[in-house]
Amino acid sequence: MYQVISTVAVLSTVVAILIHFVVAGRKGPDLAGDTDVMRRMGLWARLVHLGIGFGFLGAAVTGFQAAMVEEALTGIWLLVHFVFGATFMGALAAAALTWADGHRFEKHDAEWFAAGGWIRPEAGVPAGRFDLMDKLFFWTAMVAGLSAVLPILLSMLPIFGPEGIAVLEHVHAYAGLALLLAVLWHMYRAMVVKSGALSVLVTGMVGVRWARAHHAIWVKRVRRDRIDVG
Amino acid sequence: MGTTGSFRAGLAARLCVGILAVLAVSAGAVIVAGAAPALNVQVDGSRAKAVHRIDPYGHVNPFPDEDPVDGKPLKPAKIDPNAKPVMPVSMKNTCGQCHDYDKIRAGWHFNAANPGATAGRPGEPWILYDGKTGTQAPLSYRKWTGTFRPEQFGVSRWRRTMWFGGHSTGGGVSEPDVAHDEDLAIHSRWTASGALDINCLGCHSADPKHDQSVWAMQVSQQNFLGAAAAAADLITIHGAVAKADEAFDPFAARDDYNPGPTVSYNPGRIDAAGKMFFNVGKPSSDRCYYCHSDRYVGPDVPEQAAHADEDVHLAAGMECIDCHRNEIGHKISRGVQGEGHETLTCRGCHLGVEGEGAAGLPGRLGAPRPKHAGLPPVHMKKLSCTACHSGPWPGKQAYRVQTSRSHRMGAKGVYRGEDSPPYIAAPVFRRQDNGVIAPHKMLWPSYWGRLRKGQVVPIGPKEVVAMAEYELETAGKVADKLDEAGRPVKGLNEQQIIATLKKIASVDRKALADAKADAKATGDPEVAIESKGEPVYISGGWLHSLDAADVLTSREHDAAKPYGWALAHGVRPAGRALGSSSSRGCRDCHSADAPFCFGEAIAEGPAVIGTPTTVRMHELQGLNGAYLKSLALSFEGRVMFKVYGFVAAGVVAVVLIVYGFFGLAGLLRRNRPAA
Repeated sequence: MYQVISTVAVLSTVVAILIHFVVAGRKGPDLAGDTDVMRRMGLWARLVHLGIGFGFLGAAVTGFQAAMVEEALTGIWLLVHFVFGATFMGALAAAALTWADGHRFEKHDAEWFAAGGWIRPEAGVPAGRFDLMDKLFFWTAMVAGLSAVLPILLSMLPIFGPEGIAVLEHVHAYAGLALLLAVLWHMYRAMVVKSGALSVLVTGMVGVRWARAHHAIWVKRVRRDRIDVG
Repeated sequence: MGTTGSFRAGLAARLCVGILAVLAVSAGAVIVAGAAPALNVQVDGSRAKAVHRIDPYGHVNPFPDEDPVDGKPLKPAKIDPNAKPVMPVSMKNTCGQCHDYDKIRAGWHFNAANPGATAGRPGEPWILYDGKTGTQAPLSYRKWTGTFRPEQFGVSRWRRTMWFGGHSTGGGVSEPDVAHDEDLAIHSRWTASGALDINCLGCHSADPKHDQSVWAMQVSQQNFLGAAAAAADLITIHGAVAKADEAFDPFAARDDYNPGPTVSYNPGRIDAAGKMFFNVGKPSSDRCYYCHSDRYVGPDVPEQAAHADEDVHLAAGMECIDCHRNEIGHKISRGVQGEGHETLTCRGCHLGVEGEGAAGLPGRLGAPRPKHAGLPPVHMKKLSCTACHSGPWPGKQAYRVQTSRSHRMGAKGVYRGEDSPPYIAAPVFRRQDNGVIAPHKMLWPSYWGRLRKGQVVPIGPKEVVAMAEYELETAGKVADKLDEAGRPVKGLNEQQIIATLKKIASVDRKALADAKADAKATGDPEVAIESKGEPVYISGGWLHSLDAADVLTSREHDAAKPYGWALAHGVRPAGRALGSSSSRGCRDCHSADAPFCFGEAIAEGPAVIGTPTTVRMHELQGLNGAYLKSLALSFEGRVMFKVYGFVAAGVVAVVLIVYGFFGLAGLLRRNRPAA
């Protein structure tokens, strides 16, 4: 059952991404060679992102290979999964503390959506530091991440028997699937729709033109308040 | 027509009527015979014990001097205590009057040698032990991998009955068959002893005076015909067939030409009407215990095993037959999943069986439903119930265990010390053929053989003695090694083994040369005459042989692998199961020193050569030791991991709740009507 659902879900997401790319993704503004830069992510934020990405990737690879053959995760892969999972757990909490405030929904998010910012990246519809899609991804990741972590922690307590733990493991598996779909979309937007975002994970800096194209409201606030993102 | 014609017509009519009448009577006889009632029908369903005050019947000669005149099988005669000779009562022919003996003999206890019998999960073998030759071999008529057919070691059906019959039920190979060549072998004394039929009372006697050790003693004296009745205290046997001449006929009167044991019925056993009272009922656990007891010996055995805490089911008032049931076919439920009787397995009673309707509901016989709180479901698939719940609490090394059938427990007059062979180790946690890890009893075979084309062909003890008795008795000294307790270690030593291997090789070479010479003399081609193979000795998990310089070398070989059979009893209480919260929890198995993974089993045998094989439990489970140690390490920090995880999850949850409220507040503000 899980095999079918996850295969359909992943394929559907990939198809949706391809459709979006064909319809709108290739029309993004050309922002290459921007020499005027500004800080978007400080060191702490980059480390948190690295931890959560690294943890999720390792946990996903080790977890899905067992889930797809409907066998319990055992052996060395179980240990590896636990290491990556522990990294993901901590980074998830850090991410919640670091970015929760910046992902609060605001009035301009609805305007961004109504103006077609999600489907017409070339339109340059103004957005805050994080646009609506970024915020939706963040809260989805928080909910799905918690839903993936909490059942496993509960299964380690002497509360549930094998049948109950099996249910918790199912919740864990489906939450992981939801997280994977969200991450696929997030990676597509970051690397394709808003190309240039990948470098921020390394340097923390983005081009000003890129920032004005995708997050104009944020640029105004930073310049106005001379905020150090840090 | 006239008078003559009328007479002929009347005669013809009378003949026709007569013929029809004969045909009618014959048909009636056939119909009546065919309508004989079926055997063993408990028609009324009453749970009250049936009182067996019935006619006793004697045995039928399996080797009559003459074939029956009418071609029909001989019928058993009713017992007459005044007849000459007085015959012992036969369980087969007495019980068989109402209970279908042929159906019963197809049951598990009796059908090992039946060609079509299912082998089932490997069980306890008959262990052939011969100290002189250092032989310790698991024998079975069933196709259990790792066991040998008795005839491979020169154990005929007669010898099997003699050597192992004391702890057997009778029947099976103990009922001789003229069609079976083995039963006609010169050493077989069936014509003197008679058949050792199934001893129904061995299980079904409710008489507290029933003594199975008497059965064992009578079998050892070849008093097969009377062994069952003597054990039931129905008769007294005076003398022994073992001391009688081979020509002794138990069915003929005793006189100077036919001296042998006699039988008398104990007072009050046969009433005035010639009937005998058999105190029968459902088998009590005591009946089973005679053949199915075990005890763990050695200094490290946990207290519970040394003082024989009973299985928790029995301590709760159950009997063996509450779980191990059968119908007339005696296909006793063994509690093994996949062998039928699923509702009578551990899971069947405690957890229920889907698809079995009401019979498959959990809680049968009051079985508590376990919560197994905190146990990941993978354990229910990879481990048997017995892995956590059965046998003694595992130690650093598997213990030595003695069993009824291997060590003649319960039989009087048999010396049995803690170090008595054969050497069986338990519990040994190994992976079964179905992939499930379960505790086993394990035996490493020791025997002489010939290695030919990669296979080892066993040599029976008698044949070894015939070839190399002198070498076995005189070569070298008895090993003067001492064990940890300072006692002399007994067993074959290296010098004896070298000398015996050399002697076997010498005998084989001579036999080969003689065979070739004979073939040449008679003109037959020599090409078909081949060497029997290289003499070897299997022991302690190794194959020992002589190299070109006659130095004893040891190597691994499949023939030296141990044979194991699953153990299920005694079941410990829930609070004493591996991993139960009252002990160290998960760390009972998931720790760097856990006996379940890192315990050792030593390949003990009747020889003292070098270092016996030591195998770790995880090797028998097919698991990597380094991985298990890593997993165990993760359990050291499990509590901290849980704290860390719940704190992290708590932070995320709090953030979600707080910002959820913020979002809700924002929505409410937006939707508030303008003042």
